[in-house]
Amino acid sequence: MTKDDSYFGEKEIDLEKEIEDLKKKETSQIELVWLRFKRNKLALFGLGVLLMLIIVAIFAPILAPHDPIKTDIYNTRAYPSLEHPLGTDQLGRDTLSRLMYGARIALLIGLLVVFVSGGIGVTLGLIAGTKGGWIDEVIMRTVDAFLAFPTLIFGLALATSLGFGLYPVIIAVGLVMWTRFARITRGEVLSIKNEMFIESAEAIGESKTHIVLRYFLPNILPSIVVMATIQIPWAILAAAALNYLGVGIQPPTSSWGEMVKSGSVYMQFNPLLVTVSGMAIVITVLAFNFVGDGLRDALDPVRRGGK
Amino acid sequence: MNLVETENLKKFFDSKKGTVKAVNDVSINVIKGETLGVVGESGCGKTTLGRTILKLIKPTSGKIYFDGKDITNLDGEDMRSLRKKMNIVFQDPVSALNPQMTVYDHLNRPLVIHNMVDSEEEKLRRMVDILNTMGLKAEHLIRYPHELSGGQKQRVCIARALCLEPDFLVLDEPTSALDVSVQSKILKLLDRAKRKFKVSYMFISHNINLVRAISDRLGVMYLGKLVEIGDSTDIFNEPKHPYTQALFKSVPQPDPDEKVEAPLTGQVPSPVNPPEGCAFAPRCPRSQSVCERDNPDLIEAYGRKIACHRYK
Amino acid sequence: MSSDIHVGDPLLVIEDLKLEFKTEEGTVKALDGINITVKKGEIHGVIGETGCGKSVTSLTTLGLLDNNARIRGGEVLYKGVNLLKMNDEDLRQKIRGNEISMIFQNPSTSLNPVYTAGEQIKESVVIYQSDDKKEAQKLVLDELDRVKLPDPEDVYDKYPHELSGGMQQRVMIAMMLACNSNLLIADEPTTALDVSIQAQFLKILRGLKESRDLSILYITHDMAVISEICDVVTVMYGGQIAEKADVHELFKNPKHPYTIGLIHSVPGVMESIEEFETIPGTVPRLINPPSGCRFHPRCEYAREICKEKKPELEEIEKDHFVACHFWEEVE
Repeated sequence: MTKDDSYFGEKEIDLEKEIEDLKKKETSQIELVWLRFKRNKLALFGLGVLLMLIIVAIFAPILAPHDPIKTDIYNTRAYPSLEHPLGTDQLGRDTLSRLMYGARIALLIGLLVVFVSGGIGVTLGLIAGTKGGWIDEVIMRTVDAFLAFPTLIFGLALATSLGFGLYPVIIAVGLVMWTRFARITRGEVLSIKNEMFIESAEAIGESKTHIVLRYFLPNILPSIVVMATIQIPWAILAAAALNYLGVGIQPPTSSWGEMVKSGSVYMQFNPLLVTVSGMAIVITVLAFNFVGDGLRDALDPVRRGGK
Repeated sequence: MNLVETENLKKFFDSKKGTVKAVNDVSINVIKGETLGVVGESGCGKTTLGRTILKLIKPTSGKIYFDGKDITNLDGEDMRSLRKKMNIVFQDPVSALNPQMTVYDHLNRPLVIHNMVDSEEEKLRRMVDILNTMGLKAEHLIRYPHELSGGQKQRVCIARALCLEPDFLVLDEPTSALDVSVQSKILKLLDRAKRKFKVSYMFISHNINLVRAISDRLGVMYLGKLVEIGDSTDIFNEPKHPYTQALFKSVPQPDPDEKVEAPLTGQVPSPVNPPEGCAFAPRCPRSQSVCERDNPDLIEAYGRKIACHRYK
Repeated sequence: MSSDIHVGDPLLVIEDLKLEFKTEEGTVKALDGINITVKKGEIHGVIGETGCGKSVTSLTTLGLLDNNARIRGGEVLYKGVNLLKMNDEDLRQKIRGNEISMIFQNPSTSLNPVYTAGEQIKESVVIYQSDDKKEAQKLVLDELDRVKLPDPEDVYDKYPHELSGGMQQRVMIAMMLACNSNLLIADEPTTALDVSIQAQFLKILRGLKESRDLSILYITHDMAVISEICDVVTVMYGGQIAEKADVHELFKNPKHPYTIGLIHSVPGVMESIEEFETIPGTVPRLINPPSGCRFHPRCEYAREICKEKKPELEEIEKDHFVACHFWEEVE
């Protein structure tokens, strides 16, 4: 009665043809994610903004109309003109060029911080979640201890003691941020731990390391990626805050936080400086958040128990 | 000839309320080539038993033998290589497949781990072959679990378990999440695979009619204990243990002229601090004073094994 | 609403019900002309596999459908009143839990976790029977006793999570009794229960049918349970009715190829695996359902006409209805 039953090896398999057919039909996972991502217009917009930002950051030396640290004391706090589309700051430096170079710093901080702290956090979270027991206790209590520090004061202290510059800021922000990755990773691991496919992997003889790398990691990756896109703007904000408070990157290197700071001093003379640098931060943060939202939906389809 | 055997196997869990005696002193055996059905109500420990036998969970005490070899304390690389010969199919195919892996990946892993194939071509041939056997096609290789129906997912799970050509398979309610028409297909496939590969099954289920149709021998569990085990037909024709009798009477038959009785009153007691003596005594219509005092051993009677004081 | 309905009179009449769901992927044609009549004092079983529309039918009756559902035609008459035309407020006040009660597979989701079992039932008693507190409490204990709960006083003071699944299900029944409902819609009520508990539960339902002339619309996928408890059975497939008959007739003399396939897949009817029959193919997706008879792609008797024309439900013997062009050839 059933035509779709066949015995092992009884049916001749035209392997070449089957594989040909497969290749035609294959839609990769990434394509699927992109298809779903495209539906979210806001996320698409965010992605566009981010791409622009990245291009600007990379090609700042070519794109910037002026040298960002070249001062011009005869033309300070100027209003927009053809030569200076966004005006100049209190030392006569071109605001647009400083913004462009600032994007470099902002993105560098955002990505580096998230990369390093994400790496550390995810690894420790995986270990805590899968091992459990006292290892879990030690890691998670360490996380609690780090979380108990007031972020900004912690960062201030660290940046001051490590000296000025880019890397102290990255370390300061990263030291706080890894805890968030560790927590979310551990939480995800615990929710997957009782799924049958973990046990079933054990039953076919997968080693413990493989189970972590092939079964846990791919399943928590979507959450991590989303987390990362939310944490990047947070890192940019935190770095800007530290700049604003006067630690971290020092003038004449341009950073958005420093621009907001000096802009705010001269607000009554020329509000443009503080506005554009503030807007740059806001737009970047929003763009990352939009992309994060879109990614969450795109990466997390109704996989489990879906129709 | 026993393929799998346990000796006084125990598995206890610690819980907030006390020690859960999920499997409590069970000695059971699976003979080569047979299907051993294991039935019982929820909380009787049948699922835990299956997992403990496969060493997916560590036994508390007792011994497990596989093919005559003591595997109780086997671990690491030795245990992993033994997994080629034994496997499990779970009840819920949705959760049993990794949502981030295609069907190809699912079949690929076991073949790679156990060095079952020499070339990529041989591997593909094998995969397509077993998929065909399971009523699936090569095109399913590139599918993700969420793109498959429940029945197809379960077929992938079975294909994955069978592609290593194991000697022993624990089937833990493999069809209870599926529709009946799908269920009968899966059962036929399992039956065919059994004859083809000479696999022995331990078929765990709460569906007594189903177990009746497919098992050679039958084990009945109650509250972590094995209460009756023997030839399936014998037990179905003439159940001896009072629990087995009551259980069978509770099973509705697909025949409007036969109505069930509800001989079992009350609830199954909690496996946390089970009653002393015979676990079934508080619900047993024929319990005597000895039943509440002493725990009956599994003894030979009527060509089977029964754990009941009445058959001493 | 008249109450002079006697045993054997139609209580709930679902007529030519058509229903669709709007989804992202397209329109799901979930029900395609469903006719079900539940008579007073009758247990009417509805059987079918996943996605056949059996649960949707019951949810429609009580107006509990999701927002994406569109009723495309038909009526649901309860004591002659069309429930589909009633607004939500009226349904809630006059029908749900009052005239018609519903129990689901998972009773814990239907019970309020912050009240004890007794208090929840008392609320219904106070509304429908007696507002004297002492008397209400006594009535609650009576109801709990009627559903054979051991030690009703104890259960009265327990919170839902302290009760087992079987006991929760009985509390639901007691609540229904307290409301004096005439019709119970039970959607897979025993699927999550153990056989011994299921047996007790089915016995209680049968008893209530006898003692109170309760009508039940019993929805399940389990043939054995159907044969156990139902008087009349409707077999559904892909949002259509395949067959409808008295339970004895259906099991002895099934006429629709799908019913036959279904019965022959049930362990208990078939004694060994070799005897099991399988229905080729899989359940259709109702976004793009097969034309004509929705079963035709899987049917060994199917011919051209089956693809073109949906077979009418035809009375082939007294009270035995089949929707198949070739029922006479089927064996």
